[in-house]
Amino acid sequence: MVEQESPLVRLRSLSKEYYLGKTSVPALQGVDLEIYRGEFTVVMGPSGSGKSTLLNIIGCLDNPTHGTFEFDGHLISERDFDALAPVRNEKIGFIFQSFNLIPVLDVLENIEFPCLMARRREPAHVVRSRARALADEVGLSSCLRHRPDELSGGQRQRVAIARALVTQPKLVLADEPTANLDSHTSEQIIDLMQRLNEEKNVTFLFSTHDPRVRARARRVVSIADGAIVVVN
Amino acid sequence: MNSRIIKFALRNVLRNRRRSLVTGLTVLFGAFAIVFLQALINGTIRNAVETSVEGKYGAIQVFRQGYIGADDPLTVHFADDPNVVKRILAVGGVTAVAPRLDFDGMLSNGTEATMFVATAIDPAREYAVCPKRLDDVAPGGAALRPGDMERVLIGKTLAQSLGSQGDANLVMQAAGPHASTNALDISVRGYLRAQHMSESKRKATVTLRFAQELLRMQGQITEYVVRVGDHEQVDSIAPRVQAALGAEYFVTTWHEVDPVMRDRVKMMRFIMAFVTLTLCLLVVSTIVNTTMMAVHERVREIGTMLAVGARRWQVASMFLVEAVMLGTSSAATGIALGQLILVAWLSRGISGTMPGGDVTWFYPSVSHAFLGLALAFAAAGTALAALYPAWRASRLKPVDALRSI
Repeated sequence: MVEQESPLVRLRSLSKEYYLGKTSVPALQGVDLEIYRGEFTVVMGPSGSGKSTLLNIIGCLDNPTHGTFEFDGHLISERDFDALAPVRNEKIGFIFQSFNLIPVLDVLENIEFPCLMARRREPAHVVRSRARALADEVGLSSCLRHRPDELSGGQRQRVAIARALVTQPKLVLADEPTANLDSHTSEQIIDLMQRLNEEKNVTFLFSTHDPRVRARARRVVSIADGAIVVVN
Repeated sequence: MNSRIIKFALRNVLRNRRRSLVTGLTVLFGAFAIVFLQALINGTIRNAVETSVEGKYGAIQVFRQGYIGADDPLTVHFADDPNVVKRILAVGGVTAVAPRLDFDGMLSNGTEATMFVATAIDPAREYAVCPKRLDDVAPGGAALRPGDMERVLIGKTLAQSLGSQGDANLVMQAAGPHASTNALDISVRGYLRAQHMSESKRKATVTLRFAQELLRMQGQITEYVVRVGDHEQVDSIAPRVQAALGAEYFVTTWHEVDPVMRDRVKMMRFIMAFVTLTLCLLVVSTIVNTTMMAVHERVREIGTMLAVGARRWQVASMFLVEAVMLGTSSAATGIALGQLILVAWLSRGISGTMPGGDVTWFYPSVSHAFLGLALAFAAAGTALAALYPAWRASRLKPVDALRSI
């Protein structure tokens, strides 16, 4: 259920410039965007259009050069990187194209990993039971003790999804989550994320080229040359 | 420290087993070598100091003012006075005092004569100050005993030059204060052990009573030798002995009396410090290299950690924990191995011989405090070594790190 009252993410006149030597390269230009709770939104655009930069800023991994960024009602575009660590840890979940699992940890430990980094540690047994429940929900209950190199691509991405959800975040950012998966597995992963969105009201924001993801999205944001061109 | 973080760090250490093994072995070798070499140096220094202090000079020497540098030192004698002995013994840290009379002269077998340098001792008091003198006699002989009178212990080469064998009779001739010469018969009770040739050629030991009669110096001595409970405290005890005796006496320590030994000890300590520093640098550079490589290989993981909410200090501390874990466990193994070998093998002693001298034994060892200190330094050193790579890891930009292949 999409709640329209107050946006979870609000971007106003957001710009990001990178520097190649002394040359300024604009990655985002004057972006205005609002993401509401419970949305299943896709950001689409060609390579180099600024999708990843947009997700990095919304994910508090990068700072905008100009403009404002509000998350959950708080202005956070001015905060430094370490001050944003609790926001990344507690309010945002990440799903990466290359899964980015920790190779020395097994499935359960990878799912629990964000809780290990938390400012306010929960008791281990609480984290463990939540991780087990998530593993079960994403269909990994049979391989909890497997290490990432013992899993298929689809299974790895399921671990990444469970990891993104373990801190019960308000927003899950997925940067091309199906790019490294075959079509069948991609469908399963999209199904899984859509079910989590519908059943748990988790807000998802994707960047993708995948038309299947676009087809499932309830809202599509098109971006080109660092500027939002269409919002459907 | 959270047990899950330690477990995580341990798995990272074991991730590249070969590299961790090579690093661990380097640290192990460094720690082992430091303990082992320190023990050898300790044993050598202790042997040298004990030979000098407990076998020859005592820790502190008391002369009459003007004795050192006098043209005729025997003229700067003084009475063996129980009150002076009491004043010396009253100084904290002093455990024993014994009188001596140093002189030189000629030793003759009737047809040939040769020079000697003798120390006259009171066997009843001397061994409390210099117990090693009891072992200073080669097999077949015996140390001088209270009641011995016309008996001498001489260097083997000195004895051989006079054709002396066993309990030979010789004539000892010496000039007392103001050059009044006297000669007395004396028999050889044994051969003195020597550390070097000059001792073997010239050294002699007689009883104080005999020397006083030969030199016509009844009741007179040239020095007191003093034993202290702790050799390391000698430099603080000597000024207190000087203060107790006043300006009439001159108090010195074995450092001044045996500067060659003092300098040798200094040199050995300097060499050990240099070797320790070199080994520490080797260990530190290995840890730096290993941690740098670990950071380089795990850039994307670092990016992931930062993305899921790790703070920069958490990233840095993870690499620090890994380095300290590897460094400290390897150092502890090296230290334990060194100590094991010391206890099991080298505690039996190592023999050594100076040119022209007799065999001497020394016993390598290190204190438990040194072992603890070595381990603490290893932990601190590895942490320090990993500090820079860990800091670099923590300063990575997550956006760049996540893009890393």
